[in-house]
Amino acid sequence: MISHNDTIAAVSTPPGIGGISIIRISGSECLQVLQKIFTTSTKPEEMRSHHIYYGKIYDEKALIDEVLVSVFKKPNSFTGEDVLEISCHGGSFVTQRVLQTILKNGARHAVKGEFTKRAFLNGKIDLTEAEAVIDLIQASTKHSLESALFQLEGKLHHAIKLILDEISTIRAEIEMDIDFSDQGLEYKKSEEYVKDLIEIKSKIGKLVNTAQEGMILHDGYRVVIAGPPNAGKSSVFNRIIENERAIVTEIPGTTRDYIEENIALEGYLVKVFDTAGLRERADEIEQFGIEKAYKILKKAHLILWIEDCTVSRETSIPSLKDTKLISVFNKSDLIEKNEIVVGESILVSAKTGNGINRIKQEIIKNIDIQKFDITGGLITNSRQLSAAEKSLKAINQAIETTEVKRGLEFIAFDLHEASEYLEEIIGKISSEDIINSIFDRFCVGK
Amino acid sequence: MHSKIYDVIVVGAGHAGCEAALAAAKIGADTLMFMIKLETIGRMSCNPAVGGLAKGHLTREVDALGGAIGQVIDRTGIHFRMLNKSKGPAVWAPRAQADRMKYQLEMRSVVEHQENLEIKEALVEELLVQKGQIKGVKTQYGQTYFGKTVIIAAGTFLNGTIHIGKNKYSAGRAGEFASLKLSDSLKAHGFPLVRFKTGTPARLDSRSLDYVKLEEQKPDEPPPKFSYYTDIEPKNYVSCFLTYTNKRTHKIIADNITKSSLFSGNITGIGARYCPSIEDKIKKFPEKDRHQVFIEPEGLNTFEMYANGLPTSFPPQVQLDMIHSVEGLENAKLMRYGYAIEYDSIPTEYIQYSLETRLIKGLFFAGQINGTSGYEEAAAQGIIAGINAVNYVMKKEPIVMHRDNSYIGVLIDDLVTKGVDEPYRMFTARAEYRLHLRQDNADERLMPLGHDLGLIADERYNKFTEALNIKNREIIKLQKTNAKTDSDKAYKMIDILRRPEIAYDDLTKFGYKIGNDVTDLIKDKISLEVKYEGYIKRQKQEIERFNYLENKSIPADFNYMEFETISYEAREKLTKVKPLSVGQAARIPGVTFADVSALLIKLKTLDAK
Repeated sequence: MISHNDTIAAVSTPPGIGGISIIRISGSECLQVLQKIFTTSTKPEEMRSHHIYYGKIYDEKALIDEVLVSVFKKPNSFTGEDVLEISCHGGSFVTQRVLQTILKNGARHAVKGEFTKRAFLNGKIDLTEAEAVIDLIQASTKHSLESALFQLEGKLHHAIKLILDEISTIRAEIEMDIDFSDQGLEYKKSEEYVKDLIEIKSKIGKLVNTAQEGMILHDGYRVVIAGPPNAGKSSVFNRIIENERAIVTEIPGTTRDYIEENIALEGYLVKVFDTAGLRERADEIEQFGIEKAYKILKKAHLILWIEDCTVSRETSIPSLKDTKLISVFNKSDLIEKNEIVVGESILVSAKTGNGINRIKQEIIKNIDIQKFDITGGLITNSRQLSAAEKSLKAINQAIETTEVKRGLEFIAFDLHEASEYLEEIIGKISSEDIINSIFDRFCVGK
Repeated sequence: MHSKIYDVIVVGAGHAGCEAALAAAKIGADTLMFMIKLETIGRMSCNPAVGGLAKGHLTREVDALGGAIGQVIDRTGIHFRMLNKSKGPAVWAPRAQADRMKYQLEMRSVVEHQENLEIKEALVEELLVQKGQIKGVKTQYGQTYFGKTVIIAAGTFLNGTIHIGKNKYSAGRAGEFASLKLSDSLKAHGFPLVRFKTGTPARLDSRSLDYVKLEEQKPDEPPPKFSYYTDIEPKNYVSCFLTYTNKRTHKIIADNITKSSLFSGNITGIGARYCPSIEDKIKKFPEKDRHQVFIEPEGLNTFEMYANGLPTSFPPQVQLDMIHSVEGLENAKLMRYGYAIEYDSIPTEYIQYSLETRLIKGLFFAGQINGTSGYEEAAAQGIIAGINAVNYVMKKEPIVMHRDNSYIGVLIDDLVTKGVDEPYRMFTARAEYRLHLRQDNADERLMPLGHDLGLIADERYNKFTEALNIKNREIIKLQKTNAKTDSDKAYKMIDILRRPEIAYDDLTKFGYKIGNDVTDLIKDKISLEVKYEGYIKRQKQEIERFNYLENKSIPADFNYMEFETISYEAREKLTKVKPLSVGQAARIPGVTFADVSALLIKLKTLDAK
């Protein structure tokens, strides 16, 4: 069983060779641990919160590193407990030795997500913020990072709070009308409620609409490479991801499953998918790959339709509405320049790499169409989206109930439901399962 | 010295005490009920009315459990109405004006006719306690009575003080002795006392009112009743009347405000925000230029009229001036003056779901001692305390009412979990599941329990199950029968009934034959369940979600103070309330969402061990 109140430590910067690594320690024994390993001019018990101390880390008598120690005393720290952040000189060897020394002197190695879990349990952050911390850790690209930061500041929380306040006001008016109807007070007419509700509906609707962009930032922009067999799709894929990931052969239909790879383009997270070639007559195994390809295509934000420019078109381009498709002709190295007219299409050679940059530019151009206005709060995951959609549905129901004059207690019920779903996003009434699923996603050190 | 040991001793014979004593005696317990004055058994201290918003639901529930209040008001009511008819059916609430004298005589007759119930006029002054266990009570005459359990239902009599203007005197009700020493005894046993306050308006002579200037409020026909499956047929006899205060009234009140006991510093007790005195209303809402005043008859054999909306503690002359400024009351003669009353109550953290106290085994509290106000709230606690006192004697698990099965459950859970900082009154808004907790289905929700407990006689219960069978039979018939319509599409009767504009009787136009045994009540119930089916389903799903946390029980010996993950405040609160479940813990004020999460995680790790 993991205790909730012992002292934990972990490296909180990503592994690899960086300038500086930070080790975070949290718990009531922090300063005692420090006392045993750190020499400085100030005694640990006299150290002040939110101050930085310079000194040396010793493992018994051996000097390990010169470090800076930042002190955060409870409750004004990330976890709500006493927290130390030791900035060591980068390099995994030194950092690991400092960490080992800390662990030897009374701290326990933190398990996955433990710092954030403590922060959450000590009421330092709410559920959206906890999720944002995970996003921050997982965000590998500039734009996602920005969104995660904004969310951490509670933009989404704030936006939802405002909507909840508005719903509460109406609920209070309705409850007053129900329970004090014998008091001769002035009550609102149902038309007035409808007006207010429509306003709330548009606000939740706007929030729901941010999900598409939010989820692009969060989960990545999905680019699917598709086309007839033997058009060189896998070669183009390898070129785009700059890696020999997909197997390339002369044999048509080599790719039977799909392959997925993450790349960063201009700070955006882009997920590139290579799929099986699409053709009408295929054997059973190939057919399986084709079915999978169609499934991936349906979820695409952008399709790269790859064809061999030396052969005439046999497979018709699948039409997927609302999904942008870019036509690409491969194997340009096999033909003379200007031999064929490609119009809007891009002519590339996976073999030489010609034209691959144009593909990348087109992808970025298509991502940039999104406004990514993250200042009003963005919905960035499907849990949040599903809750917001349910809330919207309940508001719609409330409007209908009001219009058909079904009775105030039913409107109150709809609004209660709408509130509960919104509260679910900011974590007020989340169930145990939600909490567990979130903490399962934490990684060590945060 | 009486060497006899009663099973249950009830102190007080008001709305809580009578239900407690009746329930205990009906189940078969040897019961003794004390009253300071036998003439005042079941007396209505304030408004001569039962029911109303949310209180009507409580009354229906107490009746369904086998309590007396519903039948007594049905027999002695003189003006019946269904409130909130303009709203949806879940918040319709029956209310009846009682003949005050007849009501108390009827209640007295009911308790006197109850087998196993002994009634005694005496003032209980002391609790007899031995090793944390109640042993009995001692009266003002020095006599001791032994009981395995004692239920205190003392109402406003617990150290009651009446205030009118500058005057104050000790009384449980105007002209009646207060119970002074019982408070001391409770205090000596470790119960802290809190001062609450309530008030009542002046009573006017009907002959001095100008009815031309008053708005008449007619009762509903047929009178909506509180108790079904009985042979009682309530009747309407009188109307009520409505008038309003005006700017002149408000000026008189403002000019004299310091003369009110409430603002002169005499009253320290906490009053309820929802039931303010008229001087409170004027002070808090100066922008309102009028307030309602209902003029309600006190009975058929008296000219006394109750001035609902004008509770006050002004000195008599100011009361008179104030009332004379109201339209229609210009020449009103005051038969009794209004007054404020302060009394002791005990913080509800000292009671459990069973209504047994946490400090003394076998000692139960019901009614105003638990900080509630209202006859219906008192009756609801009374019947539960009576049932659980018997269960205690029989060493059975207590009956615990839940938020998803009754307003009674909402009431007791609120008391035990949230505590009260002002006199507690029931509102429908307090019930999360009010679409389910309707007055029309109170019988279906609670009568089986009442019958199991032995509080509902077989004869009445059979009538109930018979009606239920007819209802279920009708629903199946509605689902199976095709409607005759002009449309080519085939409609079932039940889908026709689903339409908002279609009443049950309208189904005959579509070729439906309504059986002779289908009463109006059954028609109403079916219409409601069919028309609001979607909502009722959603509410049931919500109840299931609610029960997820409600079913996560917390071990009784769980040591919160050692559980340092959660805030100190939450640890203290949890230690006080000792919630039975995580769901209950989550409702405790001061316990945050993070605390609940931590608790869930902790319980999970305990489970894993």
